[in-house]
Amino acid sequence: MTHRSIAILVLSLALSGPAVARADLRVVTTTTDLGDFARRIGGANVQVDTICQGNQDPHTVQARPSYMVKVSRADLVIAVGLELEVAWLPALIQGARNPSVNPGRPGYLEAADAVTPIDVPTGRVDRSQGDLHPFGNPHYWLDPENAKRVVRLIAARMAELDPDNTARYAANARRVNSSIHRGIQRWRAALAPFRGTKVASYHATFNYFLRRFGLVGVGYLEPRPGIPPSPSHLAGLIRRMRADHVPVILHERYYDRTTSDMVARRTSARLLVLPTSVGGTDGTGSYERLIDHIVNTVVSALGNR
Amino acid sequence: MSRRAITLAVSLGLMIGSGPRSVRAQDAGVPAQDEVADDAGAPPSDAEETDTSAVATDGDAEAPGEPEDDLEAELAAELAANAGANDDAAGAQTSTSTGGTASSRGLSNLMNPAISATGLFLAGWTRRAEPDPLALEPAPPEQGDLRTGLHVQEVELRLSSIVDAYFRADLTLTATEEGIEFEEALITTLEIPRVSLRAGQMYANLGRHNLLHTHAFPFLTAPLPWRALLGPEGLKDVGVSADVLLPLPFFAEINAQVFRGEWAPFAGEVLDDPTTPIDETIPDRRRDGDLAYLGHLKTLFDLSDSTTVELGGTYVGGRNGFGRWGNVVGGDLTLKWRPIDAERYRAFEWTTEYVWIDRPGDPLGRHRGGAYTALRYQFLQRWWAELLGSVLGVPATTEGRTWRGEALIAFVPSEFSALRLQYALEAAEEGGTRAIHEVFVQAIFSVGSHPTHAY
Repeated sequence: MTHRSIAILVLSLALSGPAVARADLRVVTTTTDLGDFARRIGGANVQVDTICQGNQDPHTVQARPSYMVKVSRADLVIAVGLELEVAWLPALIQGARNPSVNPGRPGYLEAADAVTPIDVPTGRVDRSQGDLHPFGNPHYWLDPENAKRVVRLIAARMAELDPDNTARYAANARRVNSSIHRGIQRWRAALAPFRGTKVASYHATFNYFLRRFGLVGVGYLEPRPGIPPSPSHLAGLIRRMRADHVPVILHERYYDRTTSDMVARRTSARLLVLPTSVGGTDGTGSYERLIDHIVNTVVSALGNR
Repeated sequence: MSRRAITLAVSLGLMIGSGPRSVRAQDAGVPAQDEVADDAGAPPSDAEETDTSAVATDGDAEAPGEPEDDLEAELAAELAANAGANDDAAGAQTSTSTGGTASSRGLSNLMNPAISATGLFLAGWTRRAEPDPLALEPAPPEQGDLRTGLHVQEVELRLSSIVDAYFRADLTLTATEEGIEFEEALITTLEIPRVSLRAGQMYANLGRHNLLHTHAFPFLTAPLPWRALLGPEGLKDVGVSADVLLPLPFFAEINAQVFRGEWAPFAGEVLDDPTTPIDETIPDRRRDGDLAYLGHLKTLFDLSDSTTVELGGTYVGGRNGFGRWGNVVGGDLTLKWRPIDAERYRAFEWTTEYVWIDRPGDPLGRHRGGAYTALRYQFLQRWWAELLGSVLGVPATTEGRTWRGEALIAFVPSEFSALRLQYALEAAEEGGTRAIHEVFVQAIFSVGSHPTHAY
């Protein structure tokens, strides 16, 4: 190693030292939604990093070593859970060499602990059914009632790790949940005229959202989770959508929209390309604005039929 | 590394990992229930909370001669006096926190390791001649070349599990047409911040390709120079390893390893050529106590949200079979691109590696080397196209250079199966041998616990 590279190393150490020392808690969340909650609950006391970006598919994140650097400095890692991150988070935690965030430690939190999962497979469970989540559908954050439970859980864990700021975390969590609560009233009112409307979607991402607001899912473009659409499956879906007069297809931004466009052309349904996480598209900088965006898009499509 | 040093390091890890913070956590209040909650939401559960303080105390007792204040010294002395009793207590503590409910319900299989199995099957044709068992000339060194016909390339069984509060273990049992062996059998520490210590049978951390299991090879076999220079199985052996994640803003890892090192680059045996009247036999002079020492630096930089570049360098040294100090130097450079909003559908990877071997004392030539460069492009959700060019003989030896090119197309229905078709062309510069063409199909399946994908 040359003198110059040693100098760079020392300089980097000096620069990186104080930057991470300011916050009381350093938090890494897998998704931007959890990141939004953690930032607002933690306020100035918490420094939050996220791994998966808002427009990124949380199933297929790559276990980049640069993410290990983030996890190596964390006091708390917050994951969605229900095996959403099974392909990459274990590798990040192992590579981070930070025992305080090993699963089972207080520094590791799966937000799914706060919610009751739906779509839990019963009976036969094997991979002929695609990328199955044996513990239930992990996209629970799109139900705002679940979001409130997650906010409370995160605040409790932050208080456990940093008891000096318990009151602050609790107050911030109450503020976040009041705002989500006002949102729920707004979203319920906006979607109330469309209760019972049938919708199709690409992947099972919106099931919690549909259930909360009284919309009915009739099918997915994916024949099975993670399996690309096949002609025979699409033909069956198109027939069902025509029979049921399904007005919209909900399509997650990070999936290829070619087949969704194809289905929309052959039915009377409109294709709605939707963000599924905070920051997934312009104007979704917070959780409430994300749900606002989804609700407004759905309402304007259903209202202009 | 001595057992005492490992114990000390583990204990230190525990002290740092579970300090006063988790003790304070016991009496931390949780925020009051939300007054606006109109839903019957379950209150946050803290079931994961474990009492690590007791374990940490036990760890202190195992770290002799490190008292930082009087109280700690006093506690350490008293605990050391009752070491046996405390070990029992700590053991009970661990089992209740990790598996008490499971065993009390009789669900003992929850403690079983994660099991997965992989099978690789090959079918194809090569113009490479079969070695003639009756030939006077010695057969060329076994390089793991593909052979015409139908073959089971490999069946692999992997077991992974957390051992206890301190270690995880990984076992890989590989069956090929040659027999069954433990490809890997190692333990890794869990509780030491910034550092992973490993011990057991494992791959040497020489660049990128040497760390890959057969089912993760980007092409059907290891690159020709790797098979010829490092041996058909690559560099793996019994050893110990320590890797440190450096506290830098980018990823940088330093790895030091010590192996028994019974590897091709350090082998000294020269077989007699029966066509000449002189006896050229040189016996292998490696001794049982000879070891191989490895140092590796890996760095990775994010160029953008979608692009990373990885740069690594390796040195391996050890006393070779000619009784001299042998050297192996490797360098690797990888560029990866995966568009952040379409990671399922597109990817591009470009990897280049070089390895150079210094064999002082070898009458057949001291320096050998080889390189490969490989491109992989995912053009549809389930399809990959790949190209590889490799050269053996950089610097050139008396045997001249051998070039090999491979083109591969892969259909990957899911992350658990793949069908791959590969064409290869291999040509030697000297010796007047004809170019070798090969066409092979490979089928891969993987069952069992979900694999974690190394980057």
